[in-house]
Order: sequence, then C-alpha cells, then structure tokens
Amino acid sequence: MIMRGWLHIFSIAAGIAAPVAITLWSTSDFGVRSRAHYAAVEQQSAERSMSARDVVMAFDTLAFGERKPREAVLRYVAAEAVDHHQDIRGDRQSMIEMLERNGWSGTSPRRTIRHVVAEGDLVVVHHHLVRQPGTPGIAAVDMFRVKDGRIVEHWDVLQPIAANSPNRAGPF
Amino acid sequence: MNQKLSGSERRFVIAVYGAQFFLGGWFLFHGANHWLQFFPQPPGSSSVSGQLIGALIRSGLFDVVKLIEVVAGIMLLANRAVPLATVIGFPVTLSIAHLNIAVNGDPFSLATGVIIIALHSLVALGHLDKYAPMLVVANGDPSSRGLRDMFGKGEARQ
Repeated sequence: MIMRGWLHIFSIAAGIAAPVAITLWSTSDFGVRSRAHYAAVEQQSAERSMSARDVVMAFDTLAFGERKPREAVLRYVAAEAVDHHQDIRGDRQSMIEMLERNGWSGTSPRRTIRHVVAEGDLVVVHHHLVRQPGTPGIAAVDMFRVKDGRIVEHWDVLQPIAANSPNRAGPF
Repeated sequence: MNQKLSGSERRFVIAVYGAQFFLGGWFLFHGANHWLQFFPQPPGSSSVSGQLIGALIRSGLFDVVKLIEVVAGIMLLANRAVPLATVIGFPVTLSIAHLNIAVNGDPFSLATGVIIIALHSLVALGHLDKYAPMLVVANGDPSSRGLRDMFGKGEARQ
C-alpha cells in the first residue's frame, strides 16, 4: 500500500491546504468571488425580480428625471433589445444616440406622465412630451416589453399637439 | 498493493490519490464551513443559484448536503471506504457542477464545475473494480446473500 505513514499525513495536509488556499484567495477582495462580486450578483438578482412596471419606471426616472439617458439604457435596457422607432437603426446604441440627440442629457425636454398601464410583460406610458419649451409638444405613447428585469422591446406613437385644435377637452 | 507498480500504473495511482485528497480537503473545508464559518457562505454567483441555495437553507436540506460533504471528505482524507465516499458524495458534486456550468456560466464557475467533475470521476475510475459487480445488466433475482455476508455468522454464508 503506497498511502501510509508520513505520506498519508502529508497528503491530508496538502489535500486540505490546497482548497483552503484557493477558497481564501477567491473570496478575498482580490479574488473572483469577492464581496463586490456577490454584491453585484445580489443587485442583479433584485433587479430581475422587479415587476415590469417598476423596471420601466426606474428607467424613466433615471433617463428623464435624473437626465442620465446613457446610464439608464445601459442599466435597464437589454443588450439585444429592439426599438421600433422609425428614425433609428433600432439597436441599443441607437437608442442612446437618439435620446442624447434629443437633448435628454441637458435641461430642455420635459416629459409629464399621464397614465401608466402594465399588463404581463408589457408597460404602456402615455405622456406629454415637450422637446422645445414654449411649444405645445407631443401626445406620446411609449410601449415597453420587459424580460428578466430588462427592457427588451420598445414601440412609440407620437401625435404632435395642434396649436388650434377644435377639441375642447384637449389631448389629455 | 504490495507488488511493484509499473510506471504508468504508478502515475495513475498518484493522480487518483491527488484527486482524492484534493476532493477530500475541498469537501471537508466547505462542509465544515457551514457550521464553523471560516469564510462567509457564498450566496450564489447568479440569481438562480442564489435562489436555490436560499431554498436549500430554508428547507434544512443544506444541512444534509453539508453533512454529506463532511462525512465524504473525512472518508476520502482518511483513505477509508473511498468507493463509498465517492458514491455518497457524487450527488453533491453533480449539483455543484450543474450550478457552476449550466446556471452561473462565468469562466471561474465553468472551471470549477469541470474540475470537480473531473476529480470525482478520476477517483471513481481508480476504484472501478469495486463497482464492477454493480454494473451487471442481467441482475437476476434479489436475495438475502448480501445481508448474510455482511451480518451473518460463518455457517450462514453458504
């Protein structure tokens, strides 16, 4: 029998020391299983458990309330998301470019939500969009599809508000 | 195993022992950590594995898993009943490998899953001759022969 005596004792010591060393390194601040790693997983897990409505509202707050459209898209829109807006390519990068081109990183555009309807993985936001202060703006509907805590599809319908409309109720 | 080993046989035995003691240390350290808290219990490296580990803890099944790890780890390190330790530890290894490979999917998890399956398989291959009687297809009728062999007196072993 090969495994006996001091060789067995050395093997036990080495057998315990190797996984202990690997585990202590990997769970240290410099390892691949650091506290930061698990904090990121926890945050991702919390975001995945958010309702579709909460995801869209969190995106809306960050993009349009806090004026950080790039951060909002990167955080809440899936990399493979599709945007059906007809003026852009429709990928995620083109969504960022459109929002920045429309001035959402600055202070001019304003957006007032009138209704939010959520059903299943779909969220519809009916809002009043004013891109240039002093103009009547646009009656807009954005529709989002959400999957695993990320927006994966977006449609929009935009109706410019007429300055002289015969409708006494107004667009909202 | 007192006879002189050939070169290839010696290398195989050393490789199996290397896998066995690493796996034993791994099982014992991670199993005992459940009670002794050498390092914080990993909550899972993905949303799904975190949910699964949480459910195992809440249901009490995690205690059983960790007890199996400790027992199998001690058997592997003591170099006693290694074929049995390999069998009772295999469901744990399979679960760890599945979570790491199929659920987590990041490079470190993939490496962890592949390595633990490879180590466990190597130890099992090193004792394949002990499993051979179990691998028959034409199993025949059940009998009490095994019970008599294990617990019976000499005259009962006919």
